[in-house]
Amino acid sequence: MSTFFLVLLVAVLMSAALAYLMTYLLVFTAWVMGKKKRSARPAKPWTDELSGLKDLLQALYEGKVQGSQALKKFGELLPRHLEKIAIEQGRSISDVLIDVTQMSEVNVSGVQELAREQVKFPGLTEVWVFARRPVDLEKNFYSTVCSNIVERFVQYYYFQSDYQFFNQLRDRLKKDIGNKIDVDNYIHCILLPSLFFLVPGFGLLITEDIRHIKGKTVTRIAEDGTIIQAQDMSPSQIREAYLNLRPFVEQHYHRILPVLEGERPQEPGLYQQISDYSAKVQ
Amino acid sequence: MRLSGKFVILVILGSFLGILVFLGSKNPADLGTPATFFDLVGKVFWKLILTALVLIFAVGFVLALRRIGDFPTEFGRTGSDLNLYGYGIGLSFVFGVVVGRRVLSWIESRELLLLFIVGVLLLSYLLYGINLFLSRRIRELKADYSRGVDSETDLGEVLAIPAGRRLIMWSFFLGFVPTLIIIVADIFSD
Repeated sequence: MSTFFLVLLVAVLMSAALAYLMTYLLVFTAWVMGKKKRSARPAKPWTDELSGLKDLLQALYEGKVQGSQALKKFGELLPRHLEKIAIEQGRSISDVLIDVTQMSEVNVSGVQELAREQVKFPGLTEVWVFARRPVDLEKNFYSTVCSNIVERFVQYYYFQSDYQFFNQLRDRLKKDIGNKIDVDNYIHCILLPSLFFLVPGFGLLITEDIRHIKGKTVTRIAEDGTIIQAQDMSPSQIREAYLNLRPFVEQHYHRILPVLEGERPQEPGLYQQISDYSAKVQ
Repeated sequence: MRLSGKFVILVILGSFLGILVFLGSKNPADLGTPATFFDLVGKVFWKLILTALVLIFAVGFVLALRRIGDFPTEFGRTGSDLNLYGYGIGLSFVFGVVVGRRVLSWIESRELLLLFIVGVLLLSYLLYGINLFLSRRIRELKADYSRGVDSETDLGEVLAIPAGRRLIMWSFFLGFVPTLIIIVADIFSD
């Protein structure tokens, strides 16, 4: 019996010693081989650490990579990215490629870009939002709304089908900036029939000089109606949107708003048709 | 990882083995009956060292062969392979008993002998299963290892992190235990 336990003890001790020895022999071997490979290999450029397009875009945004370096990396990452999209969407590569190459304008904006654009937009005095589910309560956008109101005294006009969004926004703004500014003077809401909000929506950036007015039309929304993407409106679209919404703002808020260049006396527009169905909330 | 400390340990272990080889170099294998206790210890140590060197060489040789031959290597399964070597040695002992060869002479009863050898074989099975579980844990260290650690680069990465090193060490330990039980038992027979 004692021999048996002695055998066990020696076997266990030897196993532990051998396991330790083998492991560190392998560590040493891996270290030597790694050292050889590292000395043989030229230093990798920083861009090699970017694993996907998302990382590349983030690096571009942060200024960590620029110009030709970014485009080169983009060329390397794009095929894999398109393959991934095709698999996720259950479509062929050719269909995805057709989508990509048919994009005629590269000014499609995500929510982050929309927010950045508003913050930097020169001469901004008012923002008119015509959308079922505005993004102004989302974190990227909300801070833009706050800083526009507090620092630039921008007025926000929301055209909505009900009070829900506006009340949430007002409550939140009052809580966050209510001590600095009278929020009710800067945000306004006009109710319109919900039928009009079957369209995805748009936003107008009204400037001091009305000639520089800009518009964004929503091009993609999520299943719950949240805006994902928007695109610049053409001048004629901006004109039509402004002319149709202007009477609502003028009549409800007793204002006289700028006229557009070459504006002709309007035929009965939207306001005349539905004025009885619109209401000013604030 | 600070390699220098571990390297020193390797050098010390290697020196220890060398010293024992030197101590055993009085050729105790020739002694029918060890003259002194020291000679007995020397004789046993000599055989243990020989066993250790053969095992290290055998495992290293197999790993190198797999790599050179560009076979799917699965470094994370080396411990399980060691269990299989032990299983093979145990089987050869079973055959030895069956054909009437003198095996593990310090176990006098044939039934106890078979019980011992079968017990070691079952232990090999059990530790083989545990080793497969450890192999899975090694694969789960990184998504790239989902098909196994099959290159020296991957093995280097696994060994570079403490958790990976621990898993590999445990895997080797569990692989060596049943193999060494049976080998040491045979050495003690002399």
